Amino acid sequence: MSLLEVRNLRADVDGKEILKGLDLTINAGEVHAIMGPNGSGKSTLSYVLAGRDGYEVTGGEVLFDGKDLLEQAADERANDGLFLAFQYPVELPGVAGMTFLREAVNSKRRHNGEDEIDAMGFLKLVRAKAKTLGISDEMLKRAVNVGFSGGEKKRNEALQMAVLEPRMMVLDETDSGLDIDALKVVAEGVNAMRSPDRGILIITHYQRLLDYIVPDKVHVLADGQIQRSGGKELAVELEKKGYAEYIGAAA
Amino acid sequence: MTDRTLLLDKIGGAGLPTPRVESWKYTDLKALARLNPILADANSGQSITAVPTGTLPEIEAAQIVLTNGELRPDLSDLTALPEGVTVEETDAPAPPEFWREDALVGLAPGTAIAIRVAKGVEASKPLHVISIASGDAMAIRPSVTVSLGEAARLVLIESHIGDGTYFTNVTANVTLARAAALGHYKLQADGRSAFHIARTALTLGDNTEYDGFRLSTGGTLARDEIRATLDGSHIEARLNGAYMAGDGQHIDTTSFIDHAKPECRSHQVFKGVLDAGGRGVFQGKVLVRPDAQKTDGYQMNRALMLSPDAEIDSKPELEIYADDVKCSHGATIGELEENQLFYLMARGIPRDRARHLLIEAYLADAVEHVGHEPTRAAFQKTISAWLQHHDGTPETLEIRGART
Repeated sequence: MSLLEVRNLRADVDGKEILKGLDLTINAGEVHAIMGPNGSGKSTLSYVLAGRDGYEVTGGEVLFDGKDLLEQAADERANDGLFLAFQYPVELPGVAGMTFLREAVNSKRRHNGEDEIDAMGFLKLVRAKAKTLGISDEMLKRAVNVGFSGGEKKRNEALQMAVLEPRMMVLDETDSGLDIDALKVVAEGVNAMRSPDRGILIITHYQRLLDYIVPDKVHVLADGQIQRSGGKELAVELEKKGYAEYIGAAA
Repeated sequence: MTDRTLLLDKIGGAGLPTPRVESWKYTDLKALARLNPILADANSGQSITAVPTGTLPEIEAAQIVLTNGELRPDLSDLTALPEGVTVEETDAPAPPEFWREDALVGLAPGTAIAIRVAKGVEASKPLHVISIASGDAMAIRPSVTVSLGEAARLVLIESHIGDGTYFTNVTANVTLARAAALGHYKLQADGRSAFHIARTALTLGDNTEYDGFRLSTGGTLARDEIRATLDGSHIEARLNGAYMAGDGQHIDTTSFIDHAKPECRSHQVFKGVLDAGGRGVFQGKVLVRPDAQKTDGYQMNRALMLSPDAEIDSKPELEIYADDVKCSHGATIGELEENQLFYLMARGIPRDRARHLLIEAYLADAVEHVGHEPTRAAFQKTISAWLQHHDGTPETLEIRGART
């Protein structure tokens, strides 16, 4: 059974159809990349998967580990192991990084019928993971993402991923706003998460990120549908030729 | 039968203030007039045999307990007061000039609990004045005067809790002599059917420091009125607070800061959270008299609306007669942000819990102004508990021995 199965998915935003029958199958252990021009439906797909309000599914289905994903609220999807790394991580003034992480971890544990994590164990866990991502204790004490640079915000997303250990990660334009050094750190964080029982979906406009996180499969998304699928060489081809032929095909 | 005086008979004359009076425009006392409670007699609080725990902030302090407005030496730590601090019942001082016409001020009893800190004394631990009320259709009148001698220092916590449809008419007079410093933190957590109307008069002398914070969560109708007279130079007056009103609650904060002398600073930040059926009122006035050059005055009221059925009336006022001052004021109204809620939910945090986290974070910004760390932590806990009870069953206060 595949980990994530998207079948003929259709979705509207503000009454306009953005996803027009999208099919995608990701098995555990695979890294997929979806590439596409602006306005092709990339971010809509990530929000529909994560369960954001205002994205209305009008057709098709999504199975996550065989379960109907679209039936569930955003928090239930997350606790079942779906993780969306945001293109623009949200600032939470007054909510300390540690508090945020502890709430997230305990929500998952409660969801799984487990006891809350003990404070010392949690601190050790977070510190160890934070260190590999170059995140200081001081940063963990600060309010989530408030006053963070682009690179700090994305490293913070990578930390949440590492602590929550999701089974399916969706990375929405993770490379946007990153310089090359920050990109490498984040990519290393993602690569460290690669495992036979985890799926990863990278959504990106540019091939650059895929030099560091090498995908097993690449899909071209345009006009709300997967137009073409291939191996990692497809990303290189897209970087050279651009998306013109797909935009043409869609028009 | 003892003498059973009704509130409206006691007040007589023009009766309770009505919305036609400008300072009562947003707070209507009709429901209190309808209740027309009986003035509690001296022994009505004797049935309360213990200080209830749970709602009160847990702070290491010497307790001074009032039940239905009367001092209860048996429940208080009067014999264990910090050195240089005295507490006794005295004749109540005459009401300040600016409140002489107010019928409810005239209602204050003939006696007051007087707290004094002698000149130069730094109280070794906080005092916690706890007013407990229990009863229906009953009016109680807790009255406290606080005076700090020259260079004296004190942390004073003032808590109001209770159970029933009572009316508590609170009077507090605070006087700081030269170079004294007071941390004054008030928790108004009266019963959800109670009426709480409080007036606090502050008279601050040269070089004094007043760190005030007021947290209001109780009552069906509550009004907290503060009048600060900065009657000296180089005064630092911080008057901050937070209020939370749910269904059927009306919480009014009315402040007046009178800058009479030069080179003083006043700082006010109030933050409110209003849920469906809840209403907040903030009226804040800063007066800078002609002599009060180099005044630094700041006033801000921020309200977070959790529902379209919540209401806030905000009326900030600046009246300045000096020409070399730095004063600003403002008011904002906001809602919880959907993108923040979604971000928290995308990390597995259920919607209700996500809302609580964001509301707590919103209020934390006000509570962090509390200068006394143990009180700050206790107030933070009060807020968390309020949020938890607010969505579930409302907290009921168990007052031992009080009701049958």
